[in-house]
Amino acid sequence: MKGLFIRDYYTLKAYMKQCFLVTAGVVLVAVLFFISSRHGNIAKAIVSMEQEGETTAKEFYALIKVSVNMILLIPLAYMGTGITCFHADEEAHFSKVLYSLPVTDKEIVGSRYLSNLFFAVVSLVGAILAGICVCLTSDYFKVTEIMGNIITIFSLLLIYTSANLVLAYLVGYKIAGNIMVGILMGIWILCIPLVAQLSEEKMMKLVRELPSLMQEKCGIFLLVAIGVCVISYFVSLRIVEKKGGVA
Amino acid sequence: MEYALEVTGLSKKYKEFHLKDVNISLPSGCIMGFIGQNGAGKTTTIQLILDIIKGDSGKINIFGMDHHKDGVAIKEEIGVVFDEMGYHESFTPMQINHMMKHVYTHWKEEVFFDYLSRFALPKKQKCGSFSRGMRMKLQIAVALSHEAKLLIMDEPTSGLDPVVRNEILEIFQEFVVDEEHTIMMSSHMIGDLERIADMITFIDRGRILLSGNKDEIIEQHGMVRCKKEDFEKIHSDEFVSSRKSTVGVEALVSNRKQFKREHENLLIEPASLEEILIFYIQRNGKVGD
Repeated sequence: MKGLFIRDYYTLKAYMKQCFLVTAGVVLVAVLFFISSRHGNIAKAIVSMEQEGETTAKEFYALIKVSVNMILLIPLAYMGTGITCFHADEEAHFSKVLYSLPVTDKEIVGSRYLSNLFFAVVSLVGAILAGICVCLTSDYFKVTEIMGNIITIFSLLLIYTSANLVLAYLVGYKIAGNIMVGILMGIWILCIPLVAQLSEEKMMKLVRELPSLMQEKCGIFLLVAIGVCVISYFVSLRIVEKKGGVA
Repeated sequence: MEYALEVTGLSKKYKEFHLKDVNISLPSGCIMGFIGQNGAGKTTTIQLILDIIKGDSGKINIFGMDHHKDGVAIKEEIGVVFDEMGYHESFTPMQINHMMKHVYTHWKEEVFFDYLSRFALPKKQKCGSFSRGMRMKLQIAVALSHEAKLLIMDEPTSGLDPVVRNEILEIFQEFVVDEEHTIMMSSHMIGDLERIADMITFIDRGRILLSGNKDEIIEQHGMVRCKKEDFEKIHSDEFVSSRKSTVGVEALVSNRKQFKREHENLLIEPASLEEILIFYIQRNGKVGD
């Protein structure tokens, strides 16, 4: 298994560097944002809003929080890159080599899951580090608050990755990617009318409360994601055992 | 006799291709040339032996073990070379060494690096920049670096220049010199196999046409070149197949000595492997492309 994991690690090495660079960029943007909110133009805007009324300033804080939270989640976007190993294998015609090696189906599937999880953890660590940097430079956020949001999004992306891996083994990574994009678009299309019905007040309430909801429920989200990932591994293993070899 | 590889009644059916009842026995310490045209079934047979694809029926034993049940143990003993490299182009030989060190129990790093030096392969250069010859050499280096007892190779010399081919063939001969190592090598480059193989197996359209000791096959077969009227006196059972030539007719006979006894007036010459292959394919209903 270690050998196959190393194979995936070398395949993803370039993305790993990108992930580190993006994390560094995110930290920089977030820190600059807060410097501006203390001493720059944003600070001036906050002062004038506080003069206008408490509600306007509160809404502005909420927007800042959501924006920064979103920025901090950027490193997590790299979680999906583990799936590119399938593409790299196909391009190199590695499947023939793989099935001529003394490895079991468990090792083949296990190493692919391990490398995807490894990448997920690396991107999670990136997002957490960015979050800690933001907390150190700002009074607006608490570490627990930011961690809760990051873990919730991480869990949702882990569910996405697990589903994508099963589909990749079932129908190939290209079709799997299309199906996953289709599902996401479907959810998005279903959400549009629901969001459109919300009044501005309700919308702001949602924006304010969503981060705290994600923070409160992050443990449940994480447990569900781990469960889905474990089930996904066994389903993928079954698919590979049933298919047998590359054909 | 101890067999490194025994294939019995192997079949695999695709939409437009059917591998039928393949039987191969490869004694330990031999080099078997697996000859056939493109699309004859060589790669399918090799992939079935390696359990890369699943057969419909048949039995495959490697070193007396079932190729499916004992797959992992068998693959520790096999070195494989495919017609294309199969490693990611961004990988360097150093990275491949790192990977294989954790895949094969008996991986010998120093042997691998020795082969890299011998083949003049740069350790830290990406495989994507390697020529076809370098890529084949890299595969061979991997195949020979984990104490494999059996090498299974699919067209390892095709597309290589004569100097590299010669170098690779010499390595294969070195590999079997202690008679504990065995090679199965598919190719349509008959000259290469004529030079190094001990055993020959011909395959065409998914059927094994002929299999046996190379020298015996060459010894037994002969080419008869005669006028059309002389040829008409020969019974169809006495030759494998025939074709028109500038002097009249040429035919391949499968029992040269017996034929010579029965047709003393006809000139019969030894047949080359290429001629034997062509005439068998012709009999099988298809002239080689």
